[in-house]
Amino acid sequence: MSAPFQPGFPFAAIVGQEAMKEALLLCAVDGKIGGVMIMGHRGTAKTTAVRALAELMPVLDVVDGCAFNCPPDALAGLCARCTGDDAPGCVQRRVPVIDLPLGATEDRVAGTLDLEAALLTGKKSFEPGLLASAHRGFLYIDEVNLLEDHLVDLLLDVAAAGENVVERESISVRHPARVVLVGTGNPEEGDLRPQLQDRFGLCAEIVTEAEPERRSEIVRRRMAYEDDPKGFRAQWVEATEELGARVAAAQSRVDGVVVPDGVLETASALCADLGLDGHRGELTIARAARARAALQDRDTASQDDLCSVAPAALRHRLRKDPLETRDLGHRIADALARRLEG
Amino acid sequence: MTSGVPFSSVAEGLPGRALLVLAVDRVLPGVLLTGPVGAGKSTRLTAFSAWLHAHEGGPVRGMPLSVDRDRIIGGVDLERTLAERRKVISRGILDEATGGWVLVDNLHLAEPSNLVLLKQRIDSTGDIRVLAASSAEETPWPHLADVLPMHVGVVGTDDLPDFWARLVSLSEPGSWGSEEASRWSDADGALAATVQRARASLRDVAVSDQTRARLIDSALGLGVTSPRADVYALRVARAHAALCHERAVGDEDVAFAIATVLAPRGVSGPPPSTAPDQASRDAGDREGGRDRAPDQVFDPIPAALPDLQSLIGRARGAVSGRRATRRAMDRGRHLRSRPGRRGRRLAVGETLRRAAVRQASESIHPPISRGKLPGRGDGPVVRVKRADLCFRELRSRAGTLFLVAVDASGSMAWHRMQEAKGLVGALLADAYRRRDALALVTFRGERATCVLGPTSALARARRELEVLPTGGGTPLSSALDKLIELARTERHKRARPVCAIVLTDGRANVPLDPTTSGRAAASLELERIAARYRVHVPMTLVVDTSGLAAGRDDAKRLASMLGASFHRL
Repeated sequence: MSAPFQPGFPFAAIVGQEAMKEALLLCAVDGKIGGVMIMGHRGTAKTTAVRALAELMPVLDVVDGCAFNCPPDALAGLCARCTGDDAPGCVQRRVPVIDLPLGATEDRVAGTLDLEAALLTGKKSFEPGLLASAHRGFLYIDEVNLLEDHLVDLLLDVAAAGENVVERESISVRHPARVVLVGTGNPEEGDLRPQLQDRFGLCAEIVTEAEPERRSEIVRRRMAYEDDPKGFRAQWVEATEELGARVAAAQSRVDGVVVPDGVLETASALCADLGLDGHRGELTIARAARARAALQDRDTASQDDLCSVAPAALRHRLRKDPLETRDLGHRIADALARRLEG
Repeated sequence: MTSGVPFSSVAEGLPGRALLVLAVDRVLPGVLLTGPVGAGKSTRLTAFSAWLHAHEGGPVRGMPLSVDRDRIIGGVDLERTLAERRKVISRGILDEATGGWVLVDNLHLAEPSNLVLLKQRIDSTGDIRVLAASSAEETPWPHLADVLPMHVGVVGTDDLPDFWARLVSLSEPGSWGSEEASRWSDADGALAATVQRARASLRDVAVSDQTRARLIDSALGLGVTSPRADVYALRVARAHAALCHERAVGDEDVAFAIATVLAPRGVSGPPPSTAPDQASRDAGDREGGRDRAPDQVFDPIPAALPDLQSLIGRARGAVSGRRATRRAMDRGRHLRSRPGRRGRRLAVGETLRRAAVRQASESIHPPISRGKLPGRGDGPVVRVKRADLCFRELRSRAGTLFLVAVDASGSMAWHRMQEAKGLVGALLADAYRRRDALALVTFRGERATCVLGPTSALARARRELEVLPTGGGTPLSSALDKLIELARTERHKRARPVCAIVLTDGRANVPLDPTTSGRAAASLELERIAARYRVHVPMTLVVDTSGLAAGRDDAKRLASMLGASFHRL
């Protein structure tokens, strides 16, 4: 299922959609932000951006042949196979971006009894699912709003816990599954249940590009890429490497970035102003602001970081009037403006 | 697979040209032909794929409607694995078609869960291209349709003189004279040479900035939101120019791209949300006479309608006392594994355990015997009998599907229409919280239209409602017919509980049968349809919009005819 890495359209060459790109980069820097939901029309580079993201991330050291992408140096979080005495060697792998097809079953996602082994040898063994393949990487769910609810529940549980626990079909297995969920959806085709929505860390809205110049540039680049993928990628190799280096630097720096009390206070006050229950909103703002500061090579998060990440961190948590057609970003911006003035 | 029809015999007209363009630019992922049954969609597609296969190689695989996931992506072949006692992997359709074509007939009937696999493959590696055909009346799964660059309507065979005569003679190769056969094979060969030449010059076809700007202007003008469509349009225009031996993309090429790529995606083109509405508006305009009133769009009264809300609540309760969960055989969360009851998903672990336990208790076969089965290797043997089979019971959450039919005829007075909109608005807000789905049927003029198929995208329902015009006659039987159709489709598809809500004054005056007319014929017909309706739609609420002042009880009569609850607005 997990096809070999196919070099695709470079992330750096995507025109516009800054909100989506920033949300994805923040999650690339800090996986604990809790994933991104991208809402927008079809054919707006959502899939392209997610696939291109893997290329920006540093390659992983992985135990050779491990179905769970176990790192060779860590002691915690290793699957049963890799903790054995004769642990195999180490290889380098791209950060996985695993597709979750809409029709996937719970078995396929979480893993299940290995049917073949059970029938052929009578041995009970675990056949890892997509969550195992996506460990330390991204699980990409196109049209997340069309996915069956119980699967979304399962995914969000695992993503939050960083671990997949299977207790079914007479097997009992737990394995590490630190995955960043990236869901995309088209609001015209159905809403995600509100309870599920607010468990995604960030929510980016895709805007329809109406500027002819920019659309023209999109077409130019895309056609150039399709006509000559290698040549096109070569033109963008520098920009890609530069961005990749920024992500790598930010990843190692992010844990040390300080979020000053003033910023935290503004975040809490903002959430209170907007009538949000719980603390997920503030927490996400803080994490995202930290990641943004790290990406910009700073050691302290600023109010500016907060203003930039707040719409994506809060948009999907607002109590929504189902008949409201405008984007909710403006409500957050208004509240923020009032808060910062006062 | 091959119908025997030479492609050169069907390569004319817009569909034929679209297929040639597809052959020229190998980056284009596919084409969708739409049209009525018997318009020659599949004939063209199979002829095309056979022709390409003959001249350029590359596999062609059909994807039948009944195909299952394993057959599409491949996997462990259980039967052979057990028989040969070694892992046998079978290749799926997608593997077999790599570097070639997948043919999907009746795309609108195909399972989205199957199509998504195809779409992911196109998205990720692009080494598979799709030839699809779909009915013109139904919308195929939009995610796959969207990645197919050209959507071409096959109206019929007018563009192909003598099509059917040719088809009959050509599809029986035995009937060809040798002269005729060689003539067609020459024509096929010449076409292949043309395509190859065009492909070689493809990169050299100039695309000026003005051309690009023109296409993008058209896209914006048509309301096409996706830049992907822009890219497709330009590629198609360029390939078309190459096909016509042009050095640069010209007006004709741009027009071709607009017709095949942009127009079908535009909001002012055929998409379902606006087109039927427009059609019914036109129908209303044409209709002169008694109900003639200028079409108007009324704003909804946003006021809460407390008594109605509670009524809907009751309706909901009646349909879906068991609504919270619904057992389903093949989808949802794993509930438990149970023996005996046939299901779709075998619970392997449980089955094996039961078999082992049973064998242990039967003295003849030891529970797990290290034995040798004839012709097979050594290994532990568990003999599974039918009685051991356990199936998995799955459960999924199901919302209610509300079928809302709104009378938008001229007799719906201004205030009534506002209230009706307000009511549906309240229903929408409620449905959003409960994750229900909704289909919206409006009826006015000559017939009812389903302006919105079952969806949980309530934002869209709201928009449809906002722009709902009123005026024209009351085709009530047509509306009931639509509701029956929707309820039946739902039963086959997802089997959510269905509740219909009909907002009308009940004064039917447009019969379904075009040979009859008038109120009397309409009400006679209504009774006939009502009998059928009661069978298919068990739960209905009729909301009378005529108001007390009118002092008529058509709506009440309708309610009793339909076995429905009744409410006066």
